[in-house]
Amino acid sequence: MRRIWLAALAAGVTFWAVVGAAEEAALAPQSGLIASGAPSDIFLEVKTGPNGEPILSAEEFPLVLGGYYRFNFVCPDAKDDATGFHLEVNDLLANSHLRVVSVRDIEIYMQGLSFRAIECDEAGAARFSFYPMRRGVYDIYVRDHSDPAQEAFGRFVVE
Amino acid sequence: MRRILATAALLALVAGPGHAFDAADVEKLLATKSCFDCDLSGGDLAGANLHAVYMTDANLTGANLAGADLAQGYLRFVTLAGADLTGADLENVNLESATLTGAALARAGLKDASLINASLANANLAGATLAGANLTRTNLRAASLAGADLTGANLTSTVVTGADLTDADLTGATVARTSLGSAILCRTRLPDGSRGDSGCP
Repeated sequence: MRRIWLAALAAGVTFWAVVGAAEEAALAPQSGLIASGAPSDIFLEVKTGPNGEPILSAEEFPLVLGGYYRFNFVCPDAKDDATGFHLEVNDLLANSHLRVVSVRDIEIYMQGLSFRAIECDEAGAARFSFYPMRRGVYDIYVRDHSDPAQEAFGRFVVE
Repeated sequence: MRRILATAALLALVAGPGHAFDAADVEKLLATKSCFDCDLSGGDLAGANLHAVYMTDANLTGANLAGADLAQGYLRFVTLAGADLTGADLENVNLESATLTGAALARAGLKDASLINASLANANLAGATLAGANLTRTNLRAASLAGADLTGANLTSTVVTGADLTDADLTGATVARTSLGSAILCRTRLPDGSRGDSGCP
């Protein structure tokens, strides 16, 4: 009788271990499945180089198709219109479902709209949350306000 | 009765949720050289004459297209993940935004092909001809390009992280916003004609 109980206990433990592992796997972002829950934060900090040029903190952001992300565009040292930076990620936005654009506590809940660019003319951050909906490589374009502009490029890689 | 049900359940389990390619789609494709949104996943089209084929959004996941003639074809948004295209003729093909993740393209002819924004991560392009190909924003992460001919190709914003470019020839290629340093370079002929050996073992 004791052997039966032990076997049942072992089977129960194995069952719940398998269920737990499956749940854990289900929570991890998986390419091709729409993610649920809170977005994963990704950060692009743009600092001012010695000649005023934009310096990107990272050049490549690997993303999962259908994952839920919040992109944070951070300008730590912009002071005014002349020293700020301009960001465009148009191809990514054309192939994503955009959810919320926010600056500090102001949140704009999107409804079939997109945006052209974000500019920071003072130190701070703007962010937007999105689901990438098509695999591909999408450029990140950052420039300053000089003429001709000093440019920097990065990219999102959606797999 | 119980035995029949058990057998049926077992067969359902073995069969799994996947599905085979649609034979009618194959016939239609071979007859008309066009196919829209069709499912040819796992299909055997080895050596098929699909010259100038027109198909968009088709699913050819895991299909066998080894040695097939797809030259001049229009294959935008097609899914060819894990497909076998070994030695296939893909000259001047349009594979813009196509998914070729993990595909076998060894010795394939991709001269002047458009692979803009295509996903070729982990694909095998060893010995392939990509002369004059447009690889703008193409994802070649961890792809094997050993011995590939990339002369005159356009590699603008191309992802080559971990790609194997051993013995590859990039003479005259346009490389902009692409970090060749993130790829494996060994006996690699660089765009300016010099040799890259930074990744030799």
